[in-house]
Amino acid sequence: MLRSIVKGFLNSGRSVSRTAANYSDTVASGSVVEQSDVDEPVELKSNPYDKPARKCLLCRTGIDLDYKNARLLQQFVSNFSGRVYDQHVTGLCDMQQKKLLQTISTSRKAGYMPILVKDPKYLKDPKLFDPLKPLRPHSFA
Amino acid sequence: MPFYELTLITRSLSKADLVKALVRAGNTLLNQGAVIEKVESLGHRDLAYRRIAKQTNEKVYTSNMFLFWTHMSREMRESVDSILRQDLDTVHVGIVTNEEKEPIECNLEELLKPPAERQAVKELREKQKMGHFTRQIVFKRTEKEWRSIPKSYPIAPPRY
Ligand SMILES: [Zn+2]
Repeated sequence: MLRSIVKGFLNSGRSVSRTAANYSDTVASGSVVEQSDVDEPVELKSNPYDKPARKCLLCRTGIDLDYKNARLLQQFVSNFSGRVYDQHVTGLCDMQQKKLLQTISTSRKAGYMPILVKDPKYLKDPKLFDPLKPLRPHSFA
Repeated sequence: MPFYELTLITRSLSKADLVKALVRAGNTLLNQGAVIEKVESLGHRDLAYRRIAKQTNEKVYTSNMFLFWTHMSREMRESVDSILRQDLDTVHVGIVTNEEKEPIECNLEELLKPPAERQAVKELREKQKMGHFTRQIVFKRTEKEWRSIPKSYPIAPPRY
């Protein structure tokens, strides 16, 4: 009985190795997931119809935040309270939002940007985002 | 020696006095051993917020701003800062390093996913990763809810 089982196992192993060898002869492509049988439907690793990933405003345009460019920094500041908007309103990615906060603090310390208010000169600057329509309901920060 | 950008705001001065003040600032930098790469005038502009000149106590709303590109050591930076701050003609001194730029990977797509599909939330669920204070808040809330359950009835329940 044991022998028969062992024989069966060996046979099955041989058959598997054969099919694998056949497969490697017929198909060789990076984007296709390896199949055990040639006649199985082809599976691709990535969806070719996937949309390209969306990027935030600063990443998309490639604008670098500078502490001397107080006008750009103040576009992320509220007209009413003079505070920096949260990430769910500004629509920036994690790293850009962190960088924005750092740059604004250095800009304020270096004397380029008012601390408590937004400069009234820049109140009519174009709006980059609508605070009443945030990306996410709340930042939960 | 690391690179620093030094922003100098003077009080409102006549042209001759302004030249003197600038030369004095430059000389203090050089005497401390700093290297000046470039001096830029940012012009006579409205200041971000009101400043008060020393000694005269006049309020400064608009004045000249200058930018020095300098290389100096970290110890020099502090001495230069304290000397320039004590100068009667300067209203503000800001010394800023340029940080090393990290490559920025945009994870906006990840942020726009619903919370159930977000990797951060998944990790939070699986590993129960929680900060100290969050854990304390959760503990307090559960404790409060537990406390709010009455231990005994104010009126005894009817016996049948
Ligand atoms: Zn981004």
